[in-house]
Amino acid sequence: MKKAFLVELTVLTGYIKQLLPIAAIVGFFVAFGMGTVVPLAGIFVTMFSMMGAMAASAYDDANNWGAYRLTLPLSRRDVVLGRYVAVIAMAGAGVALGIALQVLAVAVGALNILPGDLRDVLHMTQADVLASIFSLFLCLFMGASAAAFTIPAYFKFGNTKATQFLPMFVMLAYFICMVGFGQIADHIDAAEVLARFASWMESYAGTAVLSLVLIVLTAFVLSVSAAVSMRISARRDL
Amino acid sequence: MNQVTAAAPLIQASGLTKHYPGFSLAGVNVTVEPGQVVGFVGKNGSGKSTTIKALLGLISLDAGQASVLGYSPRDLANTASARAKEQVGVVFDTISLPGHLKIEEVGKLMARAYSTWDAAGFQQRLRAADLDPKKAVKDLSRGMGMKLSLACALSHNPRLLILDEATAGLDPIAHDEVLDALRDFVAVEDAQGNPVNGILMSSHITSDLDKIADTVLCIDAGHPVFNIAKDEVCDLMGVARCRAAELEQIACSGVIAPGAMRIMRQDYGIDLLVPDRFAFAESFPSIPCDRMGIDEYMVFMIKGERYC
Repeated sequence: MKKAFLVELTVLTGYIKQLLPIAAIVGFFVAFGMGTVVPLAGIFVTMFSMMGAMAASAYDDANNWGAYRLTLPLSRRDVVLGRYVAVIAMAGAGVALGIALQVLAVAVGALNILPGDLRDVLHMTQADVLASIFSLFLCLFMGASAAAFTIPAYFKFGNTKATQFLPMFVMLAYFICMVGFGQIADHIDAAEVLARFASWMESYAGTAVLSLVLIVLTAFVLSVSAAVSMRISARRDL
Repeated sequence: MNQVTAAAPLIQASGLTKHYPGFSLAGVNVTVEPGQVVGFVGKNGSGKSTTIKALLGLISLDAGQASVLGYSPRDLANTASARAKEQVGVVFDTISLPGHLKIEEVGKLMARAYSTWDAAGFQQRLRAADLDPKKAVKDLSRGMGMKLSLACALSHNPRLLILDEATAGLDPIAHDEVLDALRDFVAVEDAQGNPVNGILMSSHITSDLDKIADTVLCIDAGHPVFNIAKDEVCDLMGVARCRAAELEQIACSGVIAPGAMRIMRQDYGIDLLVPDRFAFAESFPSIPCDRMGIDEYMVFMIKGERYC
């Protein structure tokens, strides 16, 4: 698996260098749009994990690379696990780079060299730090879930075909979730539950527990996805 | 790891069968012995690439047995046996690397994949092929891409080369250099003087196979047509250019075994496949008889008609 991961990394290195400034631009635009730098790190994580999975799958289809790769001394299992490790590594890179950029942004804001509005955007209170931590792990889970959903589809159908129908399935999944939440909300006092949850979320204990839960969920969805991908890849004709 | 003795075939496949809607590969046999170059010919869409993919484990077989370096194609895809592919060099008909990679990055990628990667040998082959390491794969011409693919296939000390149209697009000088390299590859011997390497080479450039192949395997519409020693075709067989009356005479003479006469009707006369042109020339000195090439033999066997 290590060989497969290193091969994947070699292919993705150029893409990561391109993604970094793009994620930074998107992150800052969102931050200024929302009036706070809290989501900056989370945006990095989401983009790196989601787009890493998509880019890696796109390279599989280009020039028949996916088939040629299996003529190298790599097994199908290695290739699949190498893909997931690469996506996790990219998510990790997103975490590190996102946090670094966020810290840099706050440091620049603390220098008092920017106009008032911009300085306010780059300022973080203690509550903002907790919110940033929570949003980082929530975005990690969201990005990982998107990758977990799409990677098996890419292994099954190839990037070109999968890209045609994945948006439809994403919309369907979103619709099912909304209907599900709506059904749940009909049976509980949703406003009060959400208010109490938000209050707990904003505490140190709440942030820590939720962050841990999100890490565990991230690991779970990626593990299930990897198992599915290995079964799909073992049977696929290239 | 190496389950192959010096004498065991590098590839041994029989009855390879794979069904697709509208096409079936059926009953194809392939054997590549150490020291052997097996040419693989057939029309476009005849199943050559399907056969190669089946041998490499890229597609599953519906029937048949195959062994590549002692491993079944299914095993080659498994973790325990994937290392056997260290000894297999593969070139497909188009450059099969991500286009954005620079050639030097391709070298890094291969070094990470192969434990036996020969970086110095790779660099030497790049220099000999005049390939700029800073150039991206997508900026390479077809011929340059093939040179890169061949450099990758030869730079990890393989025992078996599987080449799918690997010489297509090469300029004449590069062509000769590649054929020389392939000859050198297959001439490698172990300490006991036994050949160790082999090549399975599909190609439409039959002149290459004339020069380098030991045996030639032909398939058409997924079915085997012939599997014959190249020397038997090129050094012994011939094409007799005759008229209808002469054909009757030849048929009655018994020079060619009954049922073995194959002809191609042309505008100017009839071409006859002759198993031994030297014996034929002695019996029919007035009938022109040319040397047979692989491409002509292939046309005779696929499109020719039996003359009874």
